[in-house]
Amino acid sequence: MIICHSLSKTYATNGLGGRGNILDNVSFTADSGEFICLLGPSGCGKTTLLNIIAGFVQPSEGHVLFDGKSMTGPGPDRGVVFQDPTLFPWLTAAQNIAFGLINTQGDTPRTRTRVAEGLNLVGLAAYANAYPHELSGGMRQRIALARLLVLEPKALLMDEPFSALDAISRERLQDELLDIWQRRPVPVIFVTHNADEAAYLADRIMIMGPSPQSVRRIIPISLPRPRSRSSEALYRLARVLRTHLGEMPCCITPLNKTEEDS
Amino acid sequence: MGNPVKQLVSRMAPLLLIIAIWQILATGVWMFRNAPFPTPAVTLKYLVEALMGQEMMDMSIYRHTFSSLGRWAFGFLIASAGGVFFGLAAGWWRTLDRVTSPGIQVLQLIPGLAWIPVALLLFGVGENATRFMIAVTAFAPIAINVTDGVKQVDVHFIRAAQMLGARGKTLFFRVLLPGALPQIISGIRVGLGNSWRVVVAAEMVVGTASGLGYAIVQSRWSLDYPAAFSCIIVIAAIGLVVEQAILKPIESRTIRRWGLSRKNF
Repeated sequence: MIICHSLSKTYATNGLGGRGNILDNVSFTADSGEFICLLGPSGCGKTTLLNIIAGFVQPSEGHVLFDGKSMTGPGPDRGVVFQDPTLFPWLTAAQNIAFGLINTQGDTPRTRTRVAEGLNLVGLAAYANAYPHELSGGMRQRIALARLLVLEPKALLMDEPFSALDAISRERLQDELLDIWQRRPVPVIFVTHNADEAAYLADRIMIMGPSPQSVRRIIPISLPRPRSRSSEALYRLARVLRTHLGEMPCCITPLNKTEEDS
Repeated sequence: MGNPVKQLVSRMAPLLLIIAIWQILATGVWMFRNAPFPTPAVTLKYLVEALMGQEMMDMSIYRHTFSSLGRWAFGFLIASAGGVFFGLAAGWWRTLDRVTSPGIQVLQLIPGLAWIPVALLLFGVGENATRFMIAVTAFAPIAINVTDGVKQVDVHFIRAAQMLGARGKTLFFRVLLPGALPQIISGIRVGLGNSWRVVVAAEMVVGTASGLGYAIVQSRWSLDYPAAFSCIIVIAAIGLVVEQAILKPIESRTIRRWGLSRKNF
């Protein structure tokens, strides 16, 4: 369970000594096994919120409780999938998957079996010895997912993980993700700016907008799973989401940050 | 791709151009200044004889070459060990970088030969003065490139590694070091080229009694110009082989692998 308690993030803006708010007083709880989508226009602080939960960025105010404990930095209990797969290009697919296992459990005979399981899980057993530059974008994102899943994280944090992929790969990966998540339910926080994606995946959608009102609306989704992409209900939901998004400016002028944040 | 003959001609064209200009120059100098400027043919003949074992400046051309290469290797190994170590440290500890980087930038601006007085004062005439000059010239480009390489490792790689449980030593050796490798290699390539030029120049001045640079300077006194020209060809050939045939392929291979995987960034 992830509890976010009145999180705010302020950046010093360049030069003039002014300060800009990117995130304002966000509180929510992700229950175990819940799939939450953060939906909103670019620049509204979705990624910042995710980075705070991941431990990459410290909040200016508020705190995050993860399974009852206050967290201090990034760690293998919260697996992060980035928009870019960020596989290490100097390691093969198998070595990339082994990277986290070796850090957390040492290099044991079990590591090899776990790596093989990870490759199987994402259907890439044949590519164990391929380097990232030899794989397609979808394959790389699968490996990026596998390197987390072998660590059995207690939460998955995903930052527009499929947005750089073509439509076919994206839908395939969405289904594979749901499948994996349903077999091993952990809280998922999934950042997206795509209304259809949010409607298809989420148990609950948090619509985010620019500060000072970061969370605009929280929409619980009661559609049964598995959902059909072409169903009337899903279509209606996506339309509602689009209406909410349409009330906000389509993109927000980025703050001229002095502190580095992606 | 064109036919093989055409391809061969186009690949040989730069070499043919150099030889043509050289020939024109030599003929012109003979005609107008009446000075014995060695033509390509004369030089080639001399070079072949030298390679067959004829001595020049009291030694075979091989002795001269190996003696230059030995000095180069010695100075360069010190410089690259120092430069890589220092660059890694400065990339990791930003304070070290802030304090030292202006000094290293200045170091890079000083031409190798300007170190002669310093080398002579530190080591006197001889082998160590040359090695010092080689090392000091190669150090700066290597240190600068390695520092930048470590600093420029993508923050997403670091975040991914931390999220996968990497800390301290693992983060450094398994992520930052390989992440900086393309830059480390280009630093080494630049340092290698710079220091090779300095070897030859230093031998001309610091009194080493052997080496290609020494042979060139000596040939001036004995008016043995074909010998000097042969040495120049050997110097150029070694530089070319090391840079183009060894380091460039390694560099482009790493960059290709490292870069492509971030194509859709």
